[in-house]
Amino acid sequence: MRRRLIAGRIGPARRTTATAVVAIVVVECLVAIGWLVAATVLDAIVLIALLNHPMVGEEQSSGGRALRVLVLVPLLRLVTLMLALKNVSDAGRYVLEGIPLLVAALAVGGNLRRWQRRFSFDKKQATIAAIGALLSLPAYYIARPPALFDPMGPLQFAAGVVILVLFVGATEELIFRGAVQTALVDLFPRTGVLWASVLFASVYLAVKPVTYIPFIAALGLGWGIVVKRTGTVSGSIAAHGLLLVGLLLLWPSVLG
Amino acid sequence: MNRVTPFTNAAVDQLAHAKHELVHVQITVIAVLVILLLEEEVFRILRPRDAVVVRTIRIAAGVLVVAFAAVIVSRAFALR
Repeated sequence: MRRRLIAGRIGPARRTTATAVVAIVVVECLVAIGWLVAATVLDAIVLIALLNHPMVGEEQSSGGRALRVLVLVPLLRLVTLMLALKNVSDAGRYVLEGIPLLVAALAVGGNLRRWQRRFSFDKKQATIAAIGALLSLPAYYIARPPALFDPMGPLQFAAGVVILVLFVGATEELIFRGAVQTALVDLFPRTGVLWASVLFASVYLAVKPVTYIPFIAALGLGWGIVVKRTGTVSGSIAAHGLLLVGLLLLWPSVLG
Repeated sequence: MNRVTPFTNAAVDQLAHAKHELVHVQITVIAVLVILLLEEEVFRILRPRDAVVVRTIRIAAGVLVVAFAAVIVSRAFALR
């Protein structure tokens, strides 16, 4: 009887959350094909619809939590499109967009005590970080991006490490693995990691070259599985950050 | 511009070179911000909301306000 009652409540929550995820993926497809005004309008509709869904107010329900954290994905897209200004450098863009999104991810994702539990760092997390650093070399050969700073001195390198690890790696990991995946796994215990990985891959649909998309999507799924098994996001934050440091700072200066 | 992150991708590059499209995007985001501020301040009086919803709306509006402030500041620097 109790199980049927819970199933009766979870069913609509799952349907609503799945619909929201599909809508966000559709928006990201529009972004990838370059229909940016349409994508922004649809993203705005998704954001307002999510915030106005009656389920959002249910503080303890997994459906309410999932809808609340899903708000972060349209927000990320709206902020990045809004700040697509010609006169802002890549590093400046990462800082300007990363700060509000990082704060939002921490605030929406849960209270400080919950986050403290998720930031433990041990040998396993160090290994995951090291794998991320190693994967930066194949990532560089796939994407061949320009260096974040040109010319690159020690000061620029140090600033680049902080910017990439904190405002890109940590922001993305806290949004997709820390907040979104945790909420989706609560709602979809078996497929939550997959749902979160699809969302993560979808925000990468507009990257160039397209061969980088399957690479980063596979990495996202791998980090998702690791975070679910270890219960902490610190390894995936370090791995993502070091991947970016290699991809945008180290290898372009050494091999570019 | 590198195009390998969600913050710096082909769409951002396209918008950076299409002033008209960027203005449309920014107007849409301003409309979202106005709706969120109205929801937070005005509709709350008409329809009391749960604290968690108010908090989430405030966070979303806060992110957009900061982004909008960044747009204004960088435009001011560009004009100089």
